[in-house]
Amino acid sequence: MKQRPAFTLADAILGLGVLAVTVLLIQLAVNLLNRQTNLSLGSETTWYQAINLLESDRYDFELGMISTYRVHFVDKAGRRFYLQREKDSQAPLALRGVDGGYLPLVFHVQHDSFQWRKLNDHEIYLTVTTNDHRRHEAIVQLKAPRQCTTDGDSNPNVSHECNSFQFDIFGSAKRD
Amino acid sequence: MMAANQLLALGIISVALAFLAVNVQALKTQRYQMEQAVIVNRLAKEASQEIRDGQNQVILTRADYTALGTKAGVQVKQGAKVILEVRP
Repeated sequence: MKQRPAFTLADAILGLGVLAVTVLLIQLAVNLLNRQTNLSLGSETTWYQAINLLESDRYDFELGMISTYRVHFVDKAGRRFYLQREKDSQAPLALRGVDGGYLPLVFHVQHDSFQWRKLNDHEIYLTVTTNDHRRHEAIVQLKAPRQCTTDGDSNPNVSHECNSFQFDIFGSAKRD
Repeated sequence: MMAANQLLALGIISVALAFLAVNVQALKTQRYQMEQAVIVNRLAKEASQEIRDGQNQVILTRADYTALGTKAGVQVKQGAKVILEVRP
């Protein structure tokens, strides 16, 4: 009787062994790569993207009122936004609109690490520390404030709008 | 014969994994270089802005980088190594 070609028990066991080793290798490699590499954007990149947004022509932000917990910005349409020092340690640094709106800018921010210092009427120094213990800093260049003029001023280059804002207790601003 | 096939397959998978690891390393290096470029350019921008705003000299230090701005231009260094130099 002619014997049919087939694998033996030894072949089957070897095959299973090789398969086990392969799966183990792949698992090890994937774990190692996951641990070593964080392919999402680094905190540095996120920070500079946030700064770019604050300086962008899209908003043309002017510096508004600065309080203990908030830095206010006013965009070219007169809408009011602010960045604030978050009380919640998990909260990202976010640009919030006084009339609503929330745009997270930097995630994994260390609690109470967001700080600022006004340098002049159109520059502010911002700093924040992220959970990867990296301190990010930037001098943010905002739009120079529009100048106020008196009614009798005939200079056509100077806007009649004024950059001083009166903030009510809810933080909303009104132009003088 | 069958065992040889299995070992060959294992060999191919090992080569593929090594290729993957090399590529990930290359990506990491590339990302580091791009981040460095962003930081350095930003520092140069801030330093030149301060000069434009009327300061005669400005020194900004951030992480390992130092930007020195004067009326003659801006230089960003990492230690003693000049990374970026911009002249008007």
